[in-house]
Amino acid sequence: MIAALHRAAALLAPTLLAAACASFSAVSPGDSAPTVEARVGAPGAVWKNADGSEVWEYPQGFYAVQTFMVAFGSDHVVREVHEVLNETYFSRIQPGMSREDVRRLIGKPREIWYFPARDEETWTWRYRDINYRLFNVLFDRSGGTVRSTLRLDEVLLLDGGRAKH
Amino acid sequence: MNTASSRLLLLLIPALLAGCAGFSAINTGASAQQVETLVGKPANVWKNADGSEVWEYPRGPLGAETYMVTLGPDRGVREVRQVLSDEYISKLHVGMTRDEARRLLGRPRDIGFSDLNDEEIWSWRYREWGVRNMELYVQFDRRTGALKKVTRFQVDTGDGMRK
Repeated sequence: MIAALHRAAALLAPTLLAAACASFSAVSPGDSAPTVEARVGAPGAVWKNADGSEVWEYPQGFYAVQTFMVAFGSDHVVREVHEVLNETYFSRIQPGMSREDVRRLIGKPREIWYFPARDEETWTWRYRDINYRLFNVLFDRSGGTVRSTLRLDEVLLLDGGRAKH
Repeated sequence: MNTASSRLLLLLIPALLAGCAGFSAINTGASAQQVETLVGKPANVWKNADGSEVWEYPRGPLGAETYMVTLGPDRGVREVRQVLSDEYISKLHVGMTRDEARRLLGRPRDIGFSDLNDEEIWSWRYREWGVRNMELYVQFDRRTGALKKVTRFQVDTGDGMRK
């Protein structure tokens, strides 16, 4: 029964994922704010700029490998749509940047861990290069600034990582 | 290379080799005293009910090995194991306690926390097949102390661009 459910979920998952991605290709420059909301829903976060323009952030969830940013001009019309979980954006992250700088660039992380012994806070995003990978930004926890970045390749085990001992 | 730096290198090489050779120089049957002479005092000692002991030697954070030296009730060495390897890591399983994980792999390189999921994360660095730098995360439920998840990653030390 459980196995059957898993199989059904496995079959459904690609359809759902495809639907989620396709909806962002339906947002184009020139679209109005209400059109965007109608097509892809309310954003996870909104970043307001001094000139009246805005960026709407759409993380796709814990296991997802994409985060979309929809940039609006001060006329409330879409200027551009970009997917930010890739090297184009990761490579812009430099030591000394603030948590907000990072968040605005690549969106909400899937997880935040902190390591008291080295006063470090680690933000993690899952993305897809060739394999599934994790992109980590390591912050100085007290200072709130970027120390370094780290890329980790997920190791896939045939038994799903659950050893039978 | 000038003479001064080559002299320094010549001095360094035996020092480095001694660090590595220490554990392989421990023979079965060696005394506790001999172990201490070769590799120093352990970071931790685990005492078993039968009078045997396991001495723990983490070489991190710089090294990627942790040695466990088992001494019999007669205080003679039974075996020496390097435990940061697939053989031991694959013995981790859901439900294990922190203490069991510590006894299996020794002291973690680092301990982190996730407030969102109320987790405590133990991490180790190790080398796989002597060629790959790996990172191991073991996530425990902070409230129950039970192991929830084990993940391993290969560390990409580059800038993310594939060669």
